[in-house]
Amino acid sequence: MTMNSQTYGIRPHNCQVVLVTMQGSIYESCDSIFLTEQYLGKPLKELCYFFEGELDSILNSTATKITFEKIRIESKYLPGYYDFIFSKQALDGQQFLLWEIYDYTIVYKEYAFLQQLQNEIAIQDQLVKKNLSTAKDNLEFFQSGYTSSEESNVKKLIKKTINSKFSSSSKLFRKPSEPDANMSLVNLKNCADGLVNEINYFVKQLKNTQYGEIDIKPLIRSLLNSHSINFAADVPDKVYIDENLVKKLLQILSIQYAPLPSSSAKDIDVTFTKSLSKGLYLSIIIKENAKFVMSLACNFIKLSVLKSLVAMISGDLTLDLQENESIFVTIIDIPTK
Amino acid sequence: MMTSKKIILTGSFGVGKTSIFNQFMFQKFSDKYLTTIGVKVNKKVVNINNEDVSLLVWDIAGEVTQDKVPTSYFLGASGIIYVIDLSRPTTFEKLESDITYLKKLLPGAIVKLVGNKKDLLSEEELEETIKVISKPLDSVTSAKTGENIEELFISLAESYLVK
Repeated sequence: MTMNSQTYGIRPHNCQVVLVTMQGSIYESCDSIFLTEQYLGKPLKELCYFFEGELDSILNSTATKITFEKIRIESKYLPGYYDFIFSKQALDGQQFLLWEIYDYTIVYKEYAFLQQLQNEIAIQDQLVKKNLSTAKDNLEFFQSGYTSSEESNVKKLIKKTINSKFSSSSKLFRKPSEPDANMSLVNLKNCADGLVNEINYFVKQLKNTQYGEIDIKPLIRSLLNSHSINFAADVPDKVYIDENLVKKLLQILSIQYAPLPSSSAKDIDVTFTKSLSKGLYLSIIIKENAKFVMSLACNFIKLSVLKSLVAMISGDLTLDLQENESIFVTIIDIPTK
Repeated sequence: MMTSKKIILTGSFGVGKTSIFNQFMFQKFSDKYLTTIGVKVNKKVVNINNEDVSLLVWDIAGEVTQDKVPTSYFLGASGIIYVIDLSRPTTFEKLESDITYLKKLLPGAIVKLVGNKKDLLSEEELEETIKVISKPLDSVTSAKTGENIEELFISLAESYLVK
């Protein structure tokens, strides 16, 4: 028996036909794509992993034709992308499995490029929708989350936060209440440090913003100058900003950090201290057995500071540098589990 | 004779099926997303209580719904690992109908539901996410760190020996 175009019809050049015995070994092939000489009579399972798991199922299947599309083969004898079609054939009174191989390597590589683009766009689209949804939820909370007394408390707290230093005060590491409390406190401290970096970064960006050329509030400029040690060294002396733009940016930034609405408990003490050596600084003390959610606590602190920036730039909040209180203690209500 | 099982990695696109596949097969991970075309097959032998189990893992291209995956891919499969991306809710929106479809297609197969990309979520986010997933997860993994990847396949292999 010889395989030829009369027996199987004209095949495209990217096609190979292989006759496989019902015991799973190669019987004959037209060898258009790969040479089977060394495999004749040998188990097909040795050719690639595809057959190791699949051949028995194919041989035992009652289906007249089974098609496998886009099979990627990494075997050195048949590397590429193929479509396989299997069907049972009786030839000269003997039953065979007819294995048709279609080499679509070039086509599928181009297809991969398009699918990559399509999937990347779809993934980005999904992530944007998710972030928008989260931002919307946070915005609702942000807009209605505080009562007037809380707002007042936050404003009072914030009044001095901006020119305070999130220091690595020893108080921060005092009285660890749980075995992992130190790590939590370190995280919190890092979080606060991160916020300072973010503020620094933002302030640095301002110097490149010339939109409306509205002079920043003199008080804030004075603040930045007088407490520049708390900010990046290259913060400019004079900053021109578009008030609305900055408000918008900060609002977006603060929405990102808005905590989820939840019941609250007084688990963290935030203390602003004024000392001759350090100036104003902020320490954060975690109460013993505190049960707050760390990320929310961090977010809350960030939110407070960011809100203060918005308020200051919009003129809603002014700093009274004449206050003489040397220690100002407040308690932040931290959302809990 | 060594037990040999065909395992299918399936789920939506971009959930990390190939990353799980590569982490399990080669202990490698890449941050770059590269789409899978069709199917890629590889094999790994795991040893369970001195018995070898050959796992032939099929990493198939992600589809939004499972009924779009060619049914021939599932032929003879003993296990299905349905992967979702914990950071993308879209990837578990069709979870229930997909699992129902797969169980109907392969009544005897073990189906594992896996939440991948754990590393992208905080503990709180993970808790919240798990709450909204309509079915309990069998495993929460990170193909990036390798967390629970080997365990996932080992638990599948163990269940075949028990059977």
